[in-house]
Amino acid sequence: MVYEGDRRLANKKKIKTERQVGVLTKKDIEDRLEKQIFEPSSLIITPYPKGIDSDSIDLGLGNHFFVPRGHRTPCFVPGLTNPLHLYSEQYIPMGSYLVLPAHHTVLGSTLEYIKLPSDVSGEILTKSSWARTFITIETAPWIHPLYRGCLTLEIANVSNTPVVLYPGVKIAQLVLLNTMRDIAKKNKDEIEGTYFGPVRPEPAILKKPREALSDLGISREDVTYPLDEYFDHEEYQEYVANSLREQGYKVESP
Amino acid sequence: MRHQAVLHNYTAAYKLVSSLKEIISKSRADNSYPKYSDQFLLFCQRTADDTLRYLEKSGNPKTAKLDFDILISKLSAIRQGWELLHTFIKPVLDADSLKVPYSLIQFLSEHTGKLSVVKGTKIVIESNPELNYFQHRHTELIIAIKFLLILIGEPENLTERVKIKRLGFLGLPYSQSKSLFMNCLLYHEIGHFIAEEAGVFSTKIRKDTKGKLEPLFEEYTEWAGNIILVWMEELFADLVAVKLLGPAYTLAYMELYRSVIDLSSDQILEFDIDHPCAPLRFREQVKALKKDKWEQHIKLEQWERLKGVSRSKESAYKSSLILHINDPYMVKIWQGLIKFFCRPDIIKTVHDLADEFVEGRENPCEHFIKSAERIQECLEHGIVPSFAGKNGDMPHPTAIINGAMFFWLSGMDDLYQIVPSIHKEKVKDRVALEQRVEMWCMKAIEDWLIKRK
Repeated sequence: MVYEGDRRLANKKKIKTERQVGVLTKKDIEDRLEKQIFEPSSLIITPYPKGIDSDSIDLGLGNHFFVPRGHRTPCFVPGLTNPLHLYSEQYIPMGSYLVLPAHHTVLGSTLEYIKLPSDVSGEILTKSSWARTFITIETAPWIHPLYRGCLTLEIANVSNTPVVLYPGVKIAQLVLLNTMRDIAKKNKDEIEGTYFGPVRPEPAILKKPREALSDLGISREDVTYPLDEYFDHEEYQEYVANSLREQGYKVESP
Repeated sequence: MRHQAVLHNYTAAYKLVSSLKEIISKSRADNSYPKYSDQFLLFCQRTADDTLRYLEKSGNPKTAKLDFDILISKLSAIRQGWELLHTFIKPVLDADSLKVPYSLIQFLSEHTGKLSVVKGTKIVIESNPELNYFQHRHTELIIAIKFLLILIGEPENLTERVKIKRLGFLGLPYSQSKSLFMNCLLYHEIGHFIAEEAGVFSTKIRKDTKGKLEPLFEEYTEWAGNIILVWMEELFADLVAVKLLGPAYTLAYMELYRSVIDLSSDQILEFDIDHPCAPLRFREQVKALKKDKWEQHIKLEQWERLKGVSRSKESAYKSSLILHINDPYMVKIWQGLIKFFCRPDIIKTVHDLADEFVEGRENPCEHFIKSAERIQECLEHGIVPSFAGKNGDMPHPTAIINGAMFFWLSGMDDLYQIVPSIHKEKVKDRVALEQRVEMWCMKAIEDWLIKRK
């Protein structure tokens, strides 16, 4: 089906084959799941999903969690602070549970490992029953074609009561949408991506501020850091100078 | 005066046990443990409670009914029991769920527990500061615990006593929590566990072996017999590992060996006091693999890799100990020992014992044949190899481990092709991708375990 009003689609020269764009239905999903692994258009979900709704697939909660913790770093600076220092990892066996306190967050992942087809994007959403308990599972819900891995879930309890989470429970639903073009290169399932094939939640991989801002033309000298304000204090200057001396640097007293 | 001394000793024991109880309780609150490790720790915690109650009640000789001598001897036995438990508790506490290959350990327990000779085995994992694997001998511990329970007179702990039956304590290096391939070596330790638990080298084998040694070693028979039996148990553990897991064990062992010494050097021909030399061990493992029909189902290059190290002649075998001994008589004795161990009847005895004690096992080769292609295909495309489609069976964990090991050793070229941002020539990139493959396989084992439940 070609949508009216979309000029790019209306231009037939740019479209080699007419593609149906829209949400995949149960039948479409099952057809994709039947395809061979090597076909870029195959959808893979393992363990095989038990709950396929008319237009979505239920996904369960995995066993690994990254629980935020207090730490000595005063703040998180993207690309500079080791994100692992912000969390403690927890493994919750099947049958056991994790208590998520009110207004707290935790990184989790789906129990299912998925591989999206080369012409399908996905969106992961909180199951409506869970949403009614004020649990949200995702703030970056979009999944690119050919992505593979267990999906990292940013679970937040925005309610006023602690909530118990059991690994294995169906907490998320995956909605799949046909893209306008197939992105497969030379019919291969070649993939790019920072997060390739995770089976448990993985912390953020971010560029350092200078690197991230240089694309916008902001010079290195103009980038400031949260700790700059401390440099005016003699006590802090002495601390930094001593630390550098301990590491073998020659530093004159401030 | 004596009363004060007894009170003082009971107080010291109370301090020790309550400290252990506190450590266990806090660790269990902070971390999750593999199922049987947690059961063991819970048992220790409850036994600590019972012990503390006993010490409180009996520690005051004014109110206790027993006389001083009995009180002191009972206390001494209780202390001994807790001293022994002390050595087991710490390495188990260090091996929480995140520090062990959780799904592999769960499967290992289930796999071993199916063998009729050690039915219901429960594997407890210990964290080892050294870079090696070991089986912590448990017989003495079990006796000590039973004695301890009798001493503190806690009959309600009888059910707990049943739970601690068939506990196998296996140690793995603390750095190997995320490794799958290297941890295949745990199967060798399962062999040692079976040897101890089922009394494989019992009186009869001991007597037969020493009977054969006597005409050759005369007054050294007892000494020679002990060494031969240690070597036999090593070989037995290898064969059990191969029969339960398949070539993945042999290949993992080869990797470990390769990281320590040069496989082409003469060093591999040495027997030491605890181990026969590597070529002999590989040779016998290859024989066991052939018997299970692996040769027909794995690629030639992999088979050659397996056979490669086992090709040395027996006449080249030597003892690592005689390199430092100039006494020609002792050199002759050691060479005689090696020659005796290589006798076909001795080697056959070990093979027969391995066959007997893993009777009823499922041949891992049969599982491998069923799913080898699917596993290979999954890994080539960056997919967790539990994928089985709508109605298919998930591959058996032993098939996953063997398939993944072959895939890894073949270079993983197809996988590198689909992730062009990862460069095969860069060590850091290689590590990242190899770790991914290991994680996918552990996830696949986990999926299999969940499906089984």
